[in-house]
Amino acid sequence: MDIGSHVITLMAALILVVQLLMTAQRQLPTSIRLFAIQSLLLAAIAAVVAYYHNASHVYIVAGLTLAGKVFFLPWLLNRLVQRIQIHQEIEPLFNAPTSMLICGGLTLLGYVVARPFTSLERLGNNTLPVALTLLLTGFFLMINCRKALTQVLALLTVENGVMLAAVAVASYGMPLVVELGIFFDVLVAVMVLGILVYRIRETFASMDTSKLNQLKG
Amino acid sequence: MFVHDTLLNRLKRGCATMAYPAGPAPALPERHGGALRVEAAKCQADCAACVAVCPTEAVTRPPDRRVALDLGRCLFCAECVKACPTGAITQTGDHRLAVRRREDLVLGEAGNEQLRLAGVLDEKLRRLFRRSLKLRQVSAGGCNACEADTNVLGTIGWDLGRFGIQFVASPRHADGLLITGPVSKNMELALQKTYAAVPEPRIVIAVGACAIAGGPFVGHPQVHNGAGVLLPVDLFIPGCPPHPLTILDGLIRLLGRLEESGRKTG
Amino acid sequence: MNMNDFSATLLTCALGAYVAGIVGALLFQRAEKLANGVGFGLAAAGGVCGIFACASSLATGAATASQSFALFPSLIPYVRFGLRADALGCFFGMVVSLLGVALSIYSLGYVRGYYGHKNAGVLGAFFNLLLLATTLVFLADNAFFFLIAWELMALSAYCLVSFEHEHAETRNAGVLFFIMSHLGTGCLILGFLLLFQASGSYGFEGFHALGDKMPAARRNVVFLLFLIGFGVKAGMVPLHIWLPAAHPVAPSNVSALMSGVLIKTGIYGLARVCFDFLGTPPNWWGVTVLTLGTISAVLGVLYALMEHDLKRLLAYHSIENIGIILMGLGAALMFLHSGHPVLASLALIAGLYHTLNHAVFKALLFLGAGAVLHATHTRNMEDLGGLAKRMRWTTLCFLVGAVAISALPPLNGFVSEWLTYQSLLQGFGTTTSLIRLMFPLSGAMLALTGALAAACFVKAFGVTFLGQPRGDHARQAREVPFPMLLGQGILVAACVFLGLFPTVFLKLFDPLTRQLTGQQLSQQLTMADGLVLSGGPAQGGTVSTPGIALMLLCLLPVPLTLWALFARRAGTRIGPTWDCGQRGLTPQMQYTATGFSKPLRMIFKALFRPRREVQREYDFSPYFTTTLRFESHVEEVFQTRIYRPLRWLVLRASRRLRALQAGSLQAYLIYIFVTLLALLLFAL
Repeated sequence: MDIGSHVITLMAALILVVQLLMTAQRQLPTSIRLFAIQSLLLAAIAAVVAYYHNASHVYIVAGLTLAGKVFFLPWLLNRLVQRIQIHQEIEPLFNAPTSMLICGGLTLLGYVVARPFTSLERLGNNTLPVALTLLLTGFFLMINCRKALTQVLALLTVENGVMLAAVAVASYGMPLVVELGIFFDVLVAVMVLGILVYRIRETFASMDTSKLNQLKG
Repeated sequence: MFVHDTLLNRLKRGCATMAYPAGPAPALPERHGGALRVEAAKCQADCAACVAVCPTEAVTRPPDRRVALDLGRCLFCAECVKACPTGAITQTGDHRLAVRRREDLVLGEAGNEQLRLAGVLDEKLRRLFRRSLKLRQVSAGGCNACEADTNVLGTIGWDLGRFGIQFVASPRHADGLLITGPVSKNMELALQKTYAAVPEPRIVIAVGACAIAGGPFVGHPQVHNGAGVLLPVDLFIPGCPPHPLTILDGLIRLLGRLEESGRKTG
Repeated sequence: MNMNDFSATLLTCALGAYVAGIVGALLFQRAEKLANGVGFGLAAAGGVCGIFACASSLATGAATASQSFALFPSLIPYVRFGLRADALGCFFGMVVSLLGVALSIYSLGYVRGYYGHKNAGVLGAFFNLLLLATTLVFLADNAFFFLIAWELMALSAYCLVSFEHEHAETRNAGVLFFIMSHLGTGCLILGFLLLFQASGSYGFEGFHALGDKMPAARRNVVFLLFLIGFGVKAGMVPLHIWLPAAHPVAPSNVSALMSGVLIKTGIYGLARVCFDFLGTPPNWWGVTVLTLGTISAVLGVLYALMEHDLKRLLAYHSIENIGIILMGLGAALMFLHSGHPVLASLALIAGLYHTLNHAVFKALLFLGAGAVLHATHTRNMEDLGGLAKRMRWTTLCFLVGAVAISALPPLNGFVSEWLTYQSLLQGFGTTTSLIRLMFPLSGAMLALTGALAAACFVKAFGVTFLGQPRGDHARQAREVPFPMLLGQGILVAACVFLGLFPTVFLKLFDPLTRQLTGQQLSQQLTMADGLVLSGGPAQGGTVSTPGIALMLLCLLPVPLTLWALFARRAGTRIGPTWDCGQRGLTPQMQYTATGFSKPLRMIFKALFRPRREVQREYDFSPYFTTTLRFESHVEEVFQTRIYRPLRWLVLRASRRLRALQAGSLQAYLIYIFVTLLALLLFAL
C-alpha cells in the first residue's frame, strides 16, 4: 500500500508539472505530446489503483485511457495540425510569468478546496487536489489561449482532471457504464471540435477564436 | 332673479293674443284688396281687356261666353280690376277665401259672383278633428311665401294652438297635410310618400295659388300644376300668398269653430 | 376513498374520453370529417360524464369529506397525480363539463368552416387537451399536479389561440397571452413555494387553514402573489390586457371555452387560496379584492361600449363580469373578517353563482358571435346588420344571451346580480367603521355597470342583427348548420333554467359553503316551496323569477285581447317605413356602432380621451368631396400608461446588459471561470 501510495503521489506531481509546462508552451505539437504524457501518467495511476484494490474494471478504464487519450486522440490532433499547417500558438492573453503565477494560485486554491475531502484513508486520496488543479488550470488555459486547437487540448486536460478525481476519490472509479459514457462523449466531442476547428480555419483563415467576435449581432 | 324678472314681465305684458274669432278680425293692410267679385253682366261685348293683363290666365272669356275668373289661378295682383273699363271685377276687401271644392273657385256664372265659402267637415271627421288637428306641412317647391304666412300663425299674436291645430314633425303623427308650392317633379315622390304615411282618416289642405293650380309656374314642364293633380284636396285657400287671416279663417271654418251667419256655404 | 365510487368512475371515464379524443383527432387528421366527429364527439362524451360525476358528487354531499385518489402512480418523487373532488372542485368541474358538452356539439358544425385549409384534427386534439387540463386544474390535490395541469392548460390555450396564425394580429395576441400567463404562473410558483415552506408538504390537504399558522407578513405576501397570479388568468384590471387581444382571434368555440372556463380557473384559485388555505383574512384583503372587482367591472363595460368588433366587445364584457364575481368574493372576505359567516356565505354564493351564469351566457354569446362569423366572415359590427331575417335561430339565441348578460329578469344574470346586490347592501350594517361605505359605493357601481351593459348590448344586438345589412357579407348570410344551433340551444336552456329555478341550484352550493365558510344557506334563501328567492333572513329582500316569468306570460294576453277587439274595427293598412320622403331606406341611414356609443364616449371623455381625425380631398369645392377618411380612436389607458413604460424600462435595462455580450468566446469563458472560482471560495 505504501509503495502504491508513493508511486501515485509521484505520478500526480508529475501530472501537475506537465500541466504547468503545457501552460507555458507555445508550440502546438509539443502541447499535444505533453497531453499524451499526461494521459499516460493518468492511465498509470489508474492501473496502480486497480492493482492494489483488485478492481478489474479500473484496468479497463486504464486501458481505454491508454488507447484513446495516449494514442488515438494525439494522433487525431496531430493530423489536424498537419492539415492546418499552423504550429505555433499566437500571443496568449497573459504572458508566461503571469500565467505561471495564476496557475500557482489556482493550485493553491485546489489544495485548499480539497482539504475537507482528503481525510479519507484511501489509496490515492492525495490526488484530489491535483485533480481540482487540473480542472481549474485547464479552464484557465482555455481562456488564456486563443487558438481553437489549444482550447480543445485544454478541455481534454479538464476531462483528465475529472477522471483523476473519479478514479481517486469515488469507489475505485465511477461505475463502468458512466466511465464508458464519458469516454465516448469526450471522443465524439473532440471529433466534432476537430471539424469545427477546420471550419473556423476555413472561414477566418486563422484559428484565432477571438475572430468569432465578428459573428455578434 | 331671471325667473322672477321673467314672471313679472309676463304678468305686466298680459295676454297678447288677438280676440278673433271671438272678437272682430284684424284689418287687412291697405295694399291687400281682399276677395274679388265678378259681375259678368257688366261686361262689354267683345271686351277682353282683363284677359290680356292676367299673368296666369286666370281670367278667361271664351267667345260667346261670359267672363270667368278662376280664383285658384289668381295671383291677386288686381291688374284686371284696373284694366276693366266697366268695373265688372272688383275687390271686396273680404278676407274670407277658403272653399271646399275646386269648382267653387271659379267666379262669373250667375249666382257665382262671390265665393261659396268652405263648409264644415262631415260629422265623423268633425268630431275627430274639432279640438285637435295635427298637420304635416309639405313645401313642394314654391317660393316659401305661403310657408312664411302659415308659420306666423304659430306666433303668440295669432296662436294657432288655441284651436288645437299644430304642425307636427312626422306624417305618422299627423291628421292631414298642408301643401304649399306647385309640386315640382323633384318633390313628387316625397309628397306621395308623405301622403301614404299619414294614417287614415286624413285631410289635405292646399294653400296658395301654386298648390291649387300651379301659380306663377303654371304650365312649366318641371311642375305638376298644383296638388290636386296628385292628391284629393279637402280645402283650398287661394292667395299669393294668402294673408294669415285668410288661412286661419279657412282652417277654423273647416273645423266648424267659426260661428257666423249670412253667407252661403258649400 | 370517501368519494362516491360512481362519481370516481365517471370522472375517470371523462378524463379517459378526453385523452381518447386527443389521440383520435390526431390519428384521423387526414380524414377531416372523421377527425371532427371523433375529436369533438369524445369531448362531448367526456363532458357528459363530467357533469354527472360532479353533480352527483355535489348532490349526494359526498364531496365534503372526500379523499383524494391517484390517477396513476408516478415515478417522480414529490409529484403525485392525485385528484380530489371536493365541493369547490366539483362545482367548477361541473361548469367546465357543461360548457364542454355544449361547445363540443357546437364545434361539430363550426369546424366545418375549416375543412380544406386548416387542420381540424389538430384543433380537436388541442380542444380536448384544454378540457382535460382545465378539469385537472379544478380537481388536482397537490401543488405540483396543479401547476403541471395549469401549465398544460396555458400551453394548449396558446396553441388554440394561435390556430389561425397566418394573421399577424393572431400571432401577437398569442404571444401576449403566453407572456402574461407565465408572469402569473411565476407568481403562483412563488406562492406555492412559500406555502410549502410553511406546511412541509405539497398537498392541498396540508395547506388547509395554513394561513392562521403563518406569520402575518408572509401571509400577506402569499396573498398578494396569488392575487396577481390568479388575477392575470382571471382578467382582473390592470392585468387584463391579454384578454381583449386573445379572445377575438381564437376560433369561436375556443373563445367561448376561454371566456367561459379558463378565466374561471383564476376565480377557482382565488377562492381556494383565500377561503381554504389562508384562514381568517385581514380586512384589507377583502377591500382590495372588492375595489379591484369594482374597477374591473366599470372599466370593462366602458371599454366594451367603445368596441365595434363583436368578439372584442364580448371579451371586455368578460372582464366586467369577472369584476362582478370578484365583488362577491371580496365582500365575502370582508364578512369573514368581521365575523359574519352567514353573509360571507351569501356573498360567496353570489360570486360563484355568477361564475356559473357567466360561463353559460358568455359562452352562448360567443357561440352566437361565432355563428355570425361563420355566416358572414367578419367580426366588424359596422359591416353587419339585418341578420335577424336571415339567421332567425341564432338571433333568438343571441337575444337570450344579451338579455341574460344585461341582468334582466327572469334570466340567470338577474339572479346572480340580485344576490350580489343583496350581499353588498346587507354589508352596510356589519361594521361601524368607514370601510362600510365601500358596500353601497360598490353597489352603485354595480348598478352603473348593469345599465351600461344593457346599453352596450342594445348596440351589439341592434347593430348586428336588426336593421338592414350594411355589406354584401351580411346580405348573403345563411343560417348556420344544425349542430351549432343545438350547442347554442343547450346553453339557452341552461340560461332559462338557471334563471327560473335558482332555488334548485342553490342546493348545489350547500356542500361548497359548508366546506369553505361552515354555513349552509339554501334553506334560508328559499321560501314558498322554492318559488321565491330570499336574500337572507333578516334584512334581505325577496324576488321570485318564476313569478316574474309567470306574470309576463299572464300579462301578455292583455294587449293581445285589446288588439283583437279593437284593431279589426279600425282596419289595417300596410305601408313602407317612413323615410322622410327619400327614395328608400339605405343601410347608410342606420345607426353605426360608433355613432350609437358617441354620447357615452363624450360623457366619459376623461377616461377615453377620444381622438378624431377627418381628412377630405376635393377637386374644386369642399362641398363635393372626392375622398373622405375618418378615424376615431379611444386611448387604451393600460397599454399606454402602464405596460408600454414598463416594457421600455425592461428593454432599456437589457440594452445596458447587452454590453456583457461582447461576442468574444474568451469573455464568456472568463465569466464562467470567475463564477466557478467565486463559488469555490464562497463554499470555503
